[in-house]
Amino acid sequence: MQVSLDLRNVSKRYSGIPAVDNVSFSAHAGEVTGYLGANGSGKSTTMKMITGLIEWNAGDILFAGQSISDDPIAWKTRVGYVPEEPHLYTHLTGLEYLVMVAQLRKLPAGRTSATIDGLLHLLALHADRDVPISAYSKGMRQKVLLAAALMHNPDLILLDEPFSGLDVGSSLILRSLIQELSARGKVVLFSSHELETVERICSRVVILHHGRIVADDSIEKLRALMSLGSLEDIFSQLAVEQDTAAISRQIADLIHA
Amino acid sequence: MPEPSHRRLSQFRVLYRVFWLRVVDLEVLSPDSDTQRLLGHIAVMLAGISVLFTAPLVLVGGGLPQSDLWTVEHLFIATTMTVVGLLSTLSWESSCPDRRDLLVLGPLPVRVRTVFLAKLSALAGVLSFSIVSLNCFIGLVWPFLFSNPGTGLLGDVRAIGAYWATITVVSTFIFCCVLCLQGAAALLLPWQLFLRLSSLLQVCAFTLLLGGYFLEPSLESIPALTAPANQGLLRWLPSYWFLGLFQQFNGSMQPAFALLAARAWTGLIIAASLALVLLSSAWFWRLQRAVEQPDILPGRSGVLALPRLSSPVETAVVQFALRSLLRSRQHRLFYAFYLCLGLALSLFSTGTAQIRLEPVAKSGQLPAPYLAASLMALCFAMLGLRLVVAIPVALRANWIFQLTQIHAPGVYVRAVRQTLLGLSVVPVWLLISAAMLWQFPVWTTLVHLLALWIVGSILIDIALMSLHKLPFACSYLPGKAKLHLLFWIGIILGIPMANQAGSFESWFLISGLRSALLIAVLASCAIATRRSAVRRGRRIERMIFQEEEALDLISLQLNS
Repeated sequence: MQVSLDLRNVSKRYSGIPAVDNVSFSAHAGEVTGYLGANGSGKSTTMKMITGLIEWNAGDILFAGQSISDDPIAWKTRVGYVPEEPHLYTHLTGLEYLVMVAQLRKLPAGRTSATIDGLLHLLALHADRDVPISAYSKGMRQKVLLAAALMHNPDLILLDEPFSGLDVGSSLILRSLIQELSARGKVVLFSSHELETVERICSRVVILHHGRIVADDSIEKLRALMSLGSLEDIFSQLAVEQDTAAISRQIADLIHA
Repeated sequence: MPEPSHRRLSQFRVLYRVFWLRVVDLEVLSPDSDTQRLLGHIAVMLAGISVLFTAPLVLVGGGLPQSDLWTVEHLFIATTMTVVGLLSTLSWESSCPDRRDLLVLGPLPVRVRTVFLAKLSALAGVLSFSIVSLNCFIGLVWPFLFSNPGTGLLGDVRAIGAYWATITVVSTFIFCCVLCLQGAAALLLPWQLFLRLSSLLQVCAFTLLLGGYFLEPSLESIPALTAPANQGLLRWLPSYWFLGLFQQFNGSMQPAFALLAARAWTGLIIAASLALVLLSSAWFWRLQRAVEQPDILPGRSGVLALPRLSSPVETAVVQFALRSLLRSRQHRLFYAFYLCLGLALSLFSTGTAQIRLEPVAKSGQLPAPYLAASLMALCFAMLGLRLVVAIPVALRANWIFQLTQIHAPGVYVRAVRQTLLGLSVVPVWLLISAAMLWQFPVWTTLVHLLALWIVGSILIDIALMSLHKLPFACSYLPGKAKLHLLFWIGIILGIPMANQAGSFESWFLISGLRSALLIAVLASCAIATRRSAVRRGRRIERMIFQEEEALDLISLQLNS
């Protein structure tokens, strides 16, 4: 059976206001699923529900056919998560943070030490491993998050804006890495505002608008279906309500006045 | 073109408001907490102290002898001085420009002096608020007793004025002293060294203020104030200078106070001038350039070998807690506060400081005050750490603990136990051991140390019964937590109890049989509390990462 992440009619409400409304989709092993939406559309809330950081009000989330709420502890060992904001313990050094995460995940010390060392080398953080994270740039913090998310070889990888703050070289590495992990049978759910990148690495996309899914298909099919040339056009049509040209004109007029 | 003064004034007002709200950095506490509320809590607490100091007067009435009145006057001056000093020390970095200020305000058309003045004024504003809260009852009731006999209503008014004037002057003096210390350090030390030593200076200032308050000798009588042997001491005790100043303001001056009042004026002028020169120089010459320099220099791996425990989770939690305590200025300071307070109070209340110099008989007996003092120091350390670990470090980063919560809660509870043990009981116990083994007979001391260790273990298990969170990783609501209140209740009730416990223990330590009985009873209690804590730990479903406000409405769920 092919491993997949399945969301079935999942809803999350905050004080009665729906953040995620009756969302259903599947992300399969071996493919990168793009999860798109404007700010506040419910992407990060969905990601957090999948990781178990927040609970959902209705529906169910399944991985390999089993509800993740059946055994939340076992589930957490299978997930790697890069959150939208790089919230880290900045008083720790990069190395200390990664060692702490490995210990909390109860990974074997010997092998983990080599893994952390390798990750730090490959992500160009080795020279700064003993510098407190408070002195790290945004890109370096993002790399620490990435290393922490991958060190335990998870089955499901959730990437919420993983390119944020990365330089060109690191972005290219991450792009290849996502495809490589997907090719090795991982389920990858990837959220980003960089539509060109999404178009390059995702096999299919799920587009969210005001907490509801408005599109769920491969990019090729969406292009054909909507007779539009790019993912940007598709996204603009489905999830952008404003007249962008008019707004930019109004802003220019406003500051000119 | 010169900048219009009304624009500078409006910038000042905006910045003053921003800095006022930032004197206490709430971002680290809880997303639900707010500054106004916290300041409200502080005001209520200080007003409570004011009531506590005023209540005896209402109960006893007037008619106190003059020497007692001087003692009371000195107590209020010293208390205000300590509170202002502690608050100035707590808001240590509020008077310096931080990187955030420079980055946010740098690109804006705001003069450095406007920012400087707004910062200082905000800090002074918060301190004034605290001073008024602390003296709101004291300053309106007690001065009626301090007024000169036979001066009538005019004398009463003058005493009230003199009291508030002295309080203002003494607060300014101590505030300026703290600013001098910061300014001198910022001006003389290289930036990175300043950042490293600044926190150490802060803890030292804290210790000095608390130690001075509790261990200051009582010299509130004419013979004591005029004794040649005390003159050297009085030169270093500013609270007595301002007692002299109060007499000058109040019109109750006696020759014994004249020199003290003169010292108060001299001290104030020197402190204010130095503070102004040093801090403004540091601001305009050094701190402005701080933005160009890195805050932290790279460390070296493995400089300090941290303890490794049997389970990786315990190791992770204990090491995280230790690093947080060592590297977070705020937490280190809070813990230092409780440790200093505990130590000073235990020395003060047991009279150990007084009997310290007396020769100790080598009869195999341990003096009860020493036993009580060591017990009290251990309890304060334990209680202080329990309070400090409840305050988070980088609250938003605790998602990693939530995401990696892949073990049974009992494992985390065990890790928290090791943390409390390692950061409070072990260091204090080692210090007490070193001090007592050096001074007292070995065998009796060893029995006492064993008893102390068991008591530490019991205290930790009691603390664990309500601590279902990882150290420094759960949000904290100042309004909800009753722990600080418990701490003060603990002080009031704990000191006589500890003294009593010291006497009991002293009786038990007389013979081997009694000592064995004491250890057996304590060990039984320890086993019982340990079992209870383990049982509770097993019942926990998951660790808490977010303190929640108690609901105002309780649903009876009749419709379900």
